Amino acid sequence: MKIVDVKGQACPMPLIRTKKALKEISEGEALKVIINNESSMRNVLHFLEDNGITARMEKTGDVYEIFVNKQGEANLEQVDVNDYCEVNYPPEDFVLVFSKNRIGDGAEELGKMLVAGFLDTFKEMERLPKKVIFLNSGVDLVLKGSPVVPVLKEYELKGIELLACGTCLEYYDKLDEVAVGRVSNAYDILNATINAGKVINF
Amino acid sequence: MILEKVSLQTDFKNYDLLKLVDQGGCSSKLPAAELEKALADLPEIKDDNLLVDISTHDDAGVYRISDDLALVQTTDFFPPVCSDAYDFGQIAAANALSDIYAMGGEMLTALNMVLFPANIPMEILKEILRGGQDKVAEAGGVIIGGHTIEDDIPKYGLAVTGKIHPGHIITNIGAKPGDVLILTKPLGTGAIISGKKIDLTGDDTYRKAVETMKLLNDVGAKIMNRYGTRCATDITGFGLIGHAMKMAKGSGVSIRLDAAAIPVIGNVIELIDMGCIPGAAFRNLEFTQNECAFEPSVDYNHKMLLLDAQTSGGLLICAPPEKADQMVEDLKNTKYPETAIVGEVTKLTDKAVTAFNSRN
Repeated sequence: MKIVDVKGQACPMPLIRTKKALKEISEGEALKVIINNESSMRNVLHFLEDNGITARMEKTGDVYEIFVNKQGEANLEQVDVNDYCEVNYPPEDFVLVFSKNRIGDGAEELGKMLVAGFLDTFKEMERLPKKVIFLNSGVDLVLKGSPVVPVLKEYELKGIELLACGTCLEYYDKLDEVAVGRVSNAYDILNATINAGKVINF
Repeated sequence: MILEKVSLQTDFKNYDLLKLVDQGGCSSKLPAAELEKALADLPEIKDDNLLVDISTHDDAGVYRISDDLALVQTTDFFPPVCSDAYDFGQIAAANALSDIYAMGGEMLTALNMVLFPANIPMEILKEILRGGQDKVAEAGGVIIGGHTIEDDIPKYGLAVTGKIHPGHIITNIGAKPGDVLILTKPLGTGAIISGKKIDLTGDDTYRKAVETMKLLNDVGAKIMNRYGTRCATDITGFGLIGHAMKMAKGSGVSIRLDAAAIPVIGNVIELIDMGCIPGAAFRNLEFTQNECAFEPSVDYNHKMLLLDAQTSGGLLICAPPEKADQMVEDLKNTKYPETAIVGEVTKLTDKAVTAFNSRN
């Protein structure tokens, strides 16, 4: 394993050293970056994530250790955003269900902010759901004008199926306003949940 | 980097202000999202004479005095962005004045804003103030006073008052589909300053960045007025894409930026490729990523260049297509030889700003 110790070094030195080390190590070799500055740590993690490189971080006291395993797919010379969007982690055996247009009870505005925030963060996680299901007022999320449509399109690009409840869309008279995902039926939706290893209901 | 002890620097002629700043470039500005939290619950200020307020995130505030006269007011100050004190004074002043010019105004008066440690020789402060004064004089204005506070890291800037005709205010909310976007200065000052702190930036690129930052946007404002420009902004801390995003959202349109057309300072792309990317660029990424998209043709280095926070950057001007070429010529032939058409305004799409590269 290659170790890069950038403790005490000012921004953007930690990033420069990390990038250099990534070029030097061979495929499959591990890299450990030791940082004692929180904002530098976040910048390095951001950079790795931005370039589709999986990293793990451990914190001991004031010291952060970032671990990277160099994989073949990350070509630092010519990386673009969509390249790593398409570096798919295989969808795992769980589904997400949104049965409301927001998350939780309480302030509606907060609930809507949470939906947007969760969806955005979830797509960056290593473990992606196989399907996302939208029920009752949850179908609002897939309609034209919904702020999360762009994020949900990224889900689709990653191969995640988006199922919106057809009965619900019909009830709210919104069938022709669906902007992302596919209109589904009770049979498919029940099947998706019954067969899933885990169902997470927001 | 270890901070050099101030007392070790006794060579006033070659006193390096940048050595005093640990992470100034990375962390001197409050993140936009955090600032919004602080401003969110404050009561809205209403006044019939307040023509431009903070609600549109514009460059300066405008207050009407009479039917043909309004005041444009703004302030800006920051820690050192370059090594030399006289350069720093000029840059901080040019940067503060830029907000007046982005609105199409003319400068009248300025006040010095100074934070300075007691243990740095006063010769250095004198050089900073001389730089500010010279720049204000070049702009045709006068410094009429100021205020000084003791602080560990020096900071300098101006509070500026300018004038404008209330009917000719240039804002960031008037972009129209079909408009062409003109940028008057090259990009890259954020990464170049960061690189200079760790001796990575070559002298040539560094000098170019300093000259770019010292350049007043005054003539740009005159040319905008001559062409009847209605929409423009200056490029500073949010980077080209962040300021384009504010313009697009304020105007209810979308913007397309061509990475291949963006003028760059010296070899800044090589610096970014080495990983010399200041934290501010990542903050701008977080701030813009939901509403801005990079097409696959834009490589990572150019993406970070578009996100690079600028100090005393150029004007981003919306021009009708039939006037754009002549306007670019006029800008090039006066003070801004690197002026370029960098994009276009389209009708509203699902992203406020989309960057592409016409060469890839």
